[in-house]
Amino acid sequence: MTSLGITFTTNDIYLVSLTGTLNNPVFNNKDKISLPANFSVPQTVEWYENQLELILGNINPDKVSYKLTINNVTNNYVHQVYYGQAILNLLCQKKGIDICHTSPSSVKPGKFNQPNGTNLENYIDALIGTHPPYWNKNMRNTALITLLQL
Amino acid sequence: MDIGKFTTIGYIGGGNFGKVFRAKDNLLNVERAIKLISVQNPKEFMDAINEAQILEKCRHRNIVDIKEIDIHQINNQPVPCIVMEYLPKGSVQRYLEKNFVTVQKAINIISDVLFGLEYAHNGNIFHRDIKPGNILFGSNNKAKLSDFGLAYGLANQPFSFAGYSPHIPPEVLEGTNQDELTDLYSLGITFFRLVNNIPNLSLNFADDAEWLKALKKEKFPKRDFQPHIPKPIERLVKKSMKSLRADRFKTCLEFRQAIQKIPLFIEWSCVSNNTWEGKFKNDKYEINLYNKRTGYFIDFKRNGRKDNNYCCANIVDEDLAKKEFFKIIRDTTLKI
Repeated sequence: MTSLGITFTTNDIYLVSLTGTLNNPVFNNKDKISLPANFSVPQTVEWYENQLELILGNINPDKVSYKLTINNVTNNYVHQVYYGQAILNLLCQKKGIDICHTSPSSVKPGKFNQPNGTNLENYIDALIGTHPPYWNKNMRNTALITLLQL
Repeated sequence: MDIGKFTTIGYIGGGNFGKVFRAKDNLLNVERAIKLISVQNPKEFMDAINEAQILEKCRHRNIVDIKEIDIHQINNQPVPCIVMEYLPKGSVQRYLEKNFVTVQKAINIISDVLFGLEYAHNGNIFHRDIKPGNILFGSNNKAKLSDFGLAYGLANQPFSFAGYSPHIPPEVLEGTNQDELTDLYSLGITFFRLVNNIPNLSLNFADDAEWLKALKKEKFPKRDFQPHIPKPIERLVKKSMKSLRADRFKTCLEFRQAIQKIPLFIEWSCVSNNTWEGKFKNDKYEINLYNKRTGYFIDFKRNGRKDNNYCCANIVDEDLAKKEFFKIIRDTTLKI
């Protein structure tokens, strides 16, 4: 089974895909894709449709998960993050791919069968390795939500 | 002329490998474009196209939709026919011949094509013949790549087909197989022609050796840029047409990301040598260069009102005035 996790930010989207199981995952792919500069809202939404379709077509995931934060309602965040998540949901629905969201607070060591207090960033590095460039906090968190779906 | 269930109703154009007609599908009552391919071995052509699964692998909003491929008897000869969606807005080549292509328009066209090309490359399909004549405008003015996969059919014909000659990279001239990077180079040359408004690019070399040398040294096409093109875009175009494969963009995504990272503001169009018009969102701009007794002046207007931040007065030298004129255009293309 292939799991794809995506984190949307106002500047970039981070994606990680994994196969295998929760305890024995296999790193498949990762990427950081920048949002186009100075696009209007309709242009950004169209860009999302094209870009996410290519990602889904290329990775062909069985499950998709994305990080959902609900405490940020600036205009930019709505247009560049929430609209992207809406398009992702639409495309997954059309393609028959399972999709769910993961809130950051639910990403806890217990979900990975690890003791409380485990540093999950170190844990994911040890589990699937580091894959620079852009192997940063956002990418590691994306890998964690991807892993949760395995 | 009747071709199977189609009746031709107009002639669209012709190329090296056949003619394209506007036609009516008499069963579905819709218009189509039909390309009749002139090849010596129609069956081999069809087999190569079918083997590459072009129809299945090239369905994308930025790729001209192929409806069917079949062999029809025309004048008692078997002729491969490619039936495509009919796009009345025509090709980028025609647009380039009749209009000024703004930097923004060029970028939009290339970005659209890169989406379609990335999709095809993901399915290991290469275009091999990217040029303005093979990019068409859809109903919403989005660019679509046409003639996808034609090269697969032509590859086995008794003549060597390597794409539109002025767009082929040095490695293809040396006999290397075409791949993702050769497509990206051809698109880079297309990009260069669009931003510089070059409708035609002709080869003028005594032999292949001279041609290859010019390609390797990046002397063909000569990397000259119009003065209104901002430097970051110039750098990007140059990178997309590097003679060394290692120096080019490696993937469509990398190319597209580089383009889309550049913020674009005023879309300038040339009205005359010294007058350009621009637009950004709901605002209209105009910039004029003129001379009076005391020197050269540049007027910059936004919605008919002068914006003194960009106006210049009493420039003593015409060359200096021109430089300043185009500097303002370049700068405001990227920032206002």
